[in-house]
Amino acid sequence: MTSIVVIGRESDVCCQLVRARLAADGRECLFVPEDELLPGLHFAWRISGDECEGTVGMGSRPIPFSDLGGVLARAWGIPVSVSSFQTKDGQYITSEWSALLLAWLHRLPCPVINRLRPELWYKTHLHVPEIVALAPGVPFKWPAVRVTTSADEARDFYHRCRGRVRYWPLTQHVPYPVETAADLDKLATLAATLPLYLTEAVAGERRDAYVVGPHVVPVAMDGGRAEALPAPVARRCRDIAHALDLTFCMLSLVATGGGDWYGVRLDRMPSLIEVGEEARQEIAGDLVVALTGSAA
Amino acid sequence: MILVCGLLADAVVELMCARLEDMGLEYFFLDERRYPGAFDVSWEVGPAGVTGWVAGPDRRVALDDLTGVYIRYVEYRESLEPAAPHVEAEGAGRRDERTQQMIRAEFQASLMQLVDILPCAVVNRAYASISNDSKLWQGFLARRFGFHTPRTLATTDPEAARTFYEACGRRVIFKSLSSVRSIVRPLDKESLARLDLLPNCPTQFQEHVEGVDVRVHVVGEEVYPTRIVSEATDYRYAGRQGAEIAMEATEIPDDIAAACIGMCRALGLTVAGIDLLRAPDGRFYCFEANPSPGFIFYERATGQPISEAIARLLHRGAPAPRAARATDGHPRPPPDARTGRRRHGGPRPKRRNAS
Repeated sequence: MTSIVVIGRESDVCCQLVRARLAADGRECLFVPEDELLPGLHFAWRISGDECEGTVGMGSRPIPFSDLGGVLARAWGIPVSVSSFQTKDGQYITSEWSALLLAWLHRLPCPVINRLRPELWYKTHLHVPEIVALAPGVPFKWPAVRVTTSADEARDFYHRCRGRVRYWPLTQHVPYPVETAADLDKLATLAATLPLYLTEAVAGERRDAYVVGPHVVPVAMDGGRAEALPAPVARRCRDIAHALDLTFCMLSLVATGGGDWYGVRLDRMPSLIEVGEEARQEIAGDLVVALTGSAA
Repeated sequence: MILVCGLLADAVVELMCARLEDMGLEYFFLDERRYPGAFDVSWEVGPAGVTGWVAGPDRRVALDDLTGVYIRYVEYRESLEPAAPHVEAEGAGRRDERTQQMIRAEFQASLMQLVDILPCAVVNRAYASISNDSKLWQGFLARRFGFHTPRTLATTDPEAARTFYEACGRRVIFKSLSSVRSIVRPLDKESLARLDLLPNCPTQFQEHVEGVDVRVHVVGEEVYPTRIVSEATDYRYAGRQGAEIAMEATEIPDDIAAACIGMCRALGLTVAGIDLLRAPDGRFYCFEANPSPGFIFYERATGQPISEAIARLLHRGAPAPRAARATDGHPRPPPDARTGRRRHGGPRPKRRNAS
C-alpha cells in the first residue's frame, strides 16, 4: 500500500481533517510537522540524470519515494521557531528547506497538493494585480484597483468609486473599509508611510469558492455550505486554478444584484478555520480523493 | 522611455545608466534609496491593462511611454542608514524592527507587482526571478533543455552522504540548495568530520565534474559566452583561495546557445546569466540560471557588449515571453527554440563608468 505524506502543522485544521479521513480509511499516512522538523527529518534524495530515488521519514522507518501515493503540502517553508528565524542560521536553514521541498514536490510523480510554480512559492494570497499578471486572459470580472504612494491619487480613486473602497496591505490579505470622509483622511495620513493598495468595494453577496481539482465548494460568509455556484462561475474558478496549476485554492467572490460575479482575491493555501463542519468535511473528502484517486 | 530601478551604489545599475546615456537612450532612474520619499508610483489595473505613472523630484513618466524596465531586486533597505527621509521624520526610531520590515516589504511589493504586470520588456520580472531560489528545481529544467547535471544528493542523513562520497570516487563538492550565496567547497577531510551536523540542515552534494566554466549571458535572443579559467573550486572566490582567474569571450555550439535561450524563455526571463561547465568530452553541464546577473564582472574582463545589448532590448520594448508550460505544470522547451545570434568579443563599447 502506498503512503500519503502530509506536511504542515499540528494546528492546521486542513491537515487534521485529511489525516483523520486517511486514518478512517485505513491508509498509511506520514505526518511531517514542519515546525518540528530538524533534527528528526530523515531525507535522502539521489539524483542521477533523469533518475531520482530516495527515502523520507520522521523517526520511523523511512519510506521510499516510490511508495508515496500522494502529498498534501501545507508548508510555509519555515522549519524553525520564530526566534530562530530571526537569526542568520535560522534564515539559512529556512532557505535550504524551502529550496529542497519545492524541488522535491515538483519532481514527485504522485499527486501533490499543491505542486507550486516558482511564481507562487512565496505568495499564499494573490491580489487582483497578481492574479491578472500570472493568469492573464481568465474571463473573470475584477473590481477596479489602484496602487499608489500618493494621497491625492487615493482621494481621486475614493471619489471615483463613490466612497466605496477597501484598503489592503499589499503583503497581507485583510482589508480595511474606507467608507467615510474620516476614513479617507486616515488613509491619506497612511500614504506617508505605506503604499496604498485600494480596491473598489463591489456591493453584493460574498462567497468563498473552494476549488479542489474538478470540484468547487461554495461557502457562505457564515461558514455554511452555500448553494452551488452558477456553472459558468464555477468553470471560471476552475479555469483560474488550472491557469495557476493549483489543485486546491480558494477564491473570494462577490455576486452583485445584477447577476455579475467578481473575483476579489485568491488563497492557494486556504485555512478551513472559518468554514463550517459540513463544508469542511466536503473539502477534506475532495482533497483525499485528489490525493489517493479514490473516495475515502 | 526606459525605467531603471535600483541603487546607484550598485555597480551594475551605474553601468546600465551610463550605457543608456552613451547610447542616447532616454531613461528615468527611480532611486530606491529615496523610495519612498522623493519618488512616487501610482498605477491601476483595468480592462485596458495597466495605466499610471512613476514620478521623481522633477518629472513624471507615464507607464504607457515605457518601452522597457531594468530593475535590480536588492535587499537594499537593510543597509540603509538613515532611513528614507520622511520615514525617519515619521519616527522610524520608534518603530520596532518587525514594523520596519513590513513597511519595506510593502514598498518592495508595490514595485514588484507593477513590473510583473507591465506589458513592456522587463529585465527581469519579479515572478520570473524566483526559480533561482531552488537550484535543484532549475537543474530539472536544465535537463529538459538537454543539459547535463552532475550526480546529486540532497540529504539530512550523514550515512547517505558518506555512501555518496564513496560512490563518486571521493570527489564530491557541497553547496547551498537555495539562492543564498555559498562558496562551493570540496568535501574534504575537515568537512567529512562535520557530516554529523547534517540532521540540522539539508545539504546538497554533487559529484565533482572536471571541465571549464562557461558563463553565458542571454539577452533576449542573443548569447554572450565567457570562458573562465581558474584552479579554484568556485571561481567567484578565486582570490580568497589564492587562485588566479582568467576570462575570455568564447564560442558555444548552436544547440547549446539555443538551449540557453529556450531555458530563459521557459523561465520568463529576458536576461540571465547561465552557469555552464564544458567537460573534456564536450558535454555541457548546467548549474543555474541567475536572473540578476552581475554581468559587469564579465563585460569588464572581456569587452563583450552585454550592457549595450540589454539597452537595445529595453529600447526595442519587446515583451518577455511568458513561460510555456506543459499540462503537468512543468516549463517546457518551446517548439520554436531558435539558435541564438552569438556575439563574440567585438569592438569594445564606449564606456564612461564601466572600468
